[in-house]
Amino acid sequence: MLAAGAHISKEKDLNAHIEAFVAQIKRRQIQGSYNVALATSQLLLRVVSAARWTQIDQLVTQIKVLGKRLQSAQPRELACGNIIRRVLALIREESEDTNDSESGDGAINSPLITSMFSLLSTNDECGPNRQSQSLSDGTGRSIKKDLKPYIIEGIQELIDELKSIDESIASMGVEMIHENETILTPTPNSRTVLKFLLRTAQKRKFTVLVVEVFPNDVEKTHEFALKLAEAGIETTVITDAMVYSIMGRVGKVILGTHAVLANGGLLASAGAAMICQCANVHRTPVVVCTGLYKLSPMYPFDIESLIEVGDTGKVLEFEDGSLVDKVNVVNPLYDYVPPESVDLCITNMGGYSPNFMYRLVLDHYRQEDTTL
Amino acid sequence: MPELSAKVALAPPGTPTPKGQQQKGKDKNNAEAQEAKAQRKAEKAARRAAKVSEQGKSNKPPPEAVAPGRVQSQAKQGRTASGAGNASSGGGGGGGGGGSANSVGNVTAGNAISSLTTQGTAIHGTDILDKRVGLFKHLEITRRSGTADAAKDIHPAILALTLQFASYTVIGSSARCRATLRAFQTVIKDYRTPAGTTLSRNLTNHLSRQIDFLKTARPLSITMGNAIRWLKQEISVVSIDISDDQARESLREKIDTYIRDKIEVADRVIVQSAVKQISKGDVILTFSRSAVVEQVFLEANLRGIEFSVVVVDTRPFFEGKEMVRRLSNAGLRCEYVLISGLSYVLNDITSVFLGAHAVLSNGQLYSRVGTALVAMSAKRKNIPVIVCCESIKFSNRVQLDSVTFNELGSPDDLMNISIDSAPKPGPLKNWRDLPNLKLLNILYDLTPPDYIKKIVTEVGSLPPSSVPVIIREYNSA
Repeated sequence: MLAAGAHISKEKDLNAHIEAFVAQIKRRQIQGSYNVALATSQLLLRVVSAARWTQIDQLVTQIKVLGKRLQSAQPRELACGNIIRRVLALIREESEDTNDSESGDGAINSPLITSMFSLLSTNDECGPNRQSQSLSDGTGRSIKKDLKPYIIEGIQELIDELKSIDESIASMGVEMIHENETILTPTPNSRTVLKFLLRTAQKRKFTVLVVEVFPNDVEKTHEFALKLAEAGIETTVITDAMVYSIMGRVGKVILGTHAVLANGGLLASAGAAMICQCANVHRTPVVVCTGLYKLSPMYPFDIESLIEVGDTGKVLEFEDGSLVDKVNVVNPLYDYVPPESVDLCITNMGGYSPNFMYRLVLDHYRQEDTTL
Repeated sequence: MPELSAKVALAPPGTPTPKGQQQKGKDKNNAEAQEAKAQRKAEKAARRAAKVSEQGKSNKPPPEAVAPGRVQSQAKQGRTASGAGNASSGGGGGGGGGGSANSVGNVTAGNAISSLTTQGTAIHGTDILDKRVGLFKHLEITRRSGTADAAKDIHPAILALTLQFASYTVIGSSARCRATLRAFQTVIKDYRTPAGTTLSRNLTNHLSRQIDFLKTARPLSITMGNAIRWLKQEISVVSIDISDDQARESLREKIDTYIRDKIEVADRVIVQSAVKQISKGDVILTFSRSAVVEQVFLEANLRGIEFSVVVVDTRPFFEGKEMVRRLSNAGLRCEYVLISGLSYVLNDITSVFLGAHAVLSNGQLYSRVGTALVAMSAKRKNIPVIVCCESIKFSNRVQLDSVTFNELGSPDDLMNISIDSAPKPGPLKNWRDLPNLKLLNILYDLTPPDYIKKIVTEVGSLPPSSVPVIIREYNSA
């Protein structure tokens, strides 16, 4: 009796925690894909430790339900869904491993979906099929080995990976930047890019042109410039409009991103698409620094639905009532950068061409999890 | 323009002392004297700032407040002075760096100046040089803050205009050209030929000195250059047989005709021609503010064509705001977006209308910085880009990139992160303290001819490649 009571209170506690997390991402109290990814994985760690299941599918369903809830709380924060899919893939893998060792025929769920034919197929066609297959498989077997510690260990590793991502990306800086180069960065609110540049500055001397990305996050941009300058890097702040005039003198464009889609396209801060296009016109290489947690299995079929629109008061002050009344003001927060505009994606797993991103998606996520 | 000269007559501190004048003539290259002069200038500025603040305190509008150029210039003075203060005191009163136009800002600025010696001024001088961006070091920074050092023969109308240019009160190449010609009319009206020379020989020199002074505010615009070249030509052919009065009158009339033909009528012709490019249901994108493009939209609206306009704007001037205000007041459907959101709005656009500062002989469009990005994005989406431009903006010059020739604005404009007229210094307010940090504020960029579908001028619509043809015909005519 006592144990059951403790269990109920524990569950309540967890529910309250999930509730709080949902509220936080709804209110944008957790901002930035890194913070969301970290918080999501920590939440999943708690959920998995508290969860009770007899069959692995119960856990999978439980996490899928949670994932759906988190994703609908902030549909444009793709990192949250990515982490959930990563954990789901992890759970499936662990269960297959044990099944493997038991029966030796657990290769059902291993990525057969590497052919180009199934690439374009949606989940509805192949997903439920597979799921029912795996479900029927699962019901037949009882899990003899307790998977929990393995899954927790896996999530723990994921958290460690998240924490060390910037470090591993930054270490590639010396391969990207040569002495005396001029770098332009149109997404100065990215901590990955900041660390990348700071780390590279220890070995190389270069100049950074910081594009303001007005009006969103302009304070962060300016602080970014201050941090670079304090670290001894030659830093010049320019407005968004000046990019074309100076692009001819730029060696590389280094971009941070909000999310990477399966086709290699990016969701980056507003203005990035225009600046990447400008770099393409000038044949300047565009390099994207991103952690794998930003890689989403989604394809950009409807670009406009992916782009979030922000506070118009940052574009036109509301005090100017006579004008605000008559004029339609838009303030997009993100831009979709097509994969053709990007030359290289540097991830914590190394550098890849954006065309290769779909392969990394297959490596890290299960296709049956694409829609949560 | 009697109005202009009256404004300046109200501003006695601007007129130089004869002593200073003498000094200037005597030993121009003597560094010591220059330092002394700078000190005197600083003291004078401090006195003036203190005076203004006193007047502000007693709640009486100062007489100078009549002339907007003057007041702005003092605010500007405050800005540069507090910038110098930062450099010497290691970021002391950085808060005043916003160039606030209120009297409190002026008091602190005034104090800063009076506590500074010539050494402070010198530091400020080198400070500006060190803070220039490497690529653009060849461009000179013109930052006029007052008229204290003006020579005696600079006409008050020119002094006023210089300050209006420096404070960007008069902005846009057509407007600047017109204002300059009007000011020249006043100069010519008040001009008396000295004994022993003729008007056709001496007036040109006199005007050149006025022009040199105008250049201390901002470099001449292409339109101004063209107009000045024309005016000098006209002066040189004034017959020595007619009286000075007659000559002055004929020049005044010629300037009137020039303004009418080259700007006003030209604009009307362009509007009539460009308005045909607008049809029902169009969504037209424009960048920043161009007077002639604005007239095209207003005319199309008057003709009852249903269309909407997307105005793309940029920091630091936000000129598009004025554009969108005028268009929406006329009842046009408008959308306003900053240039970072360009690709978001571009999907529905049917055509792009752009204004010009100048069109160069190799077909490159020299216009407000950001124009090239807009034209490039439009071209990539196969949206036609139409440039409305008077032929007075055509220049013989050729240029291939925006770096070799450009105009630098004040870098402090980038530090201010506000979107309205009230300055709001952001995290970079002490940027001058960091040796590695620079702010770049160029005013123009160059749009390659392949992004431009056609240029609408008063002599017809033409592709960018035909610009040299027009220049040739125009010069030979």
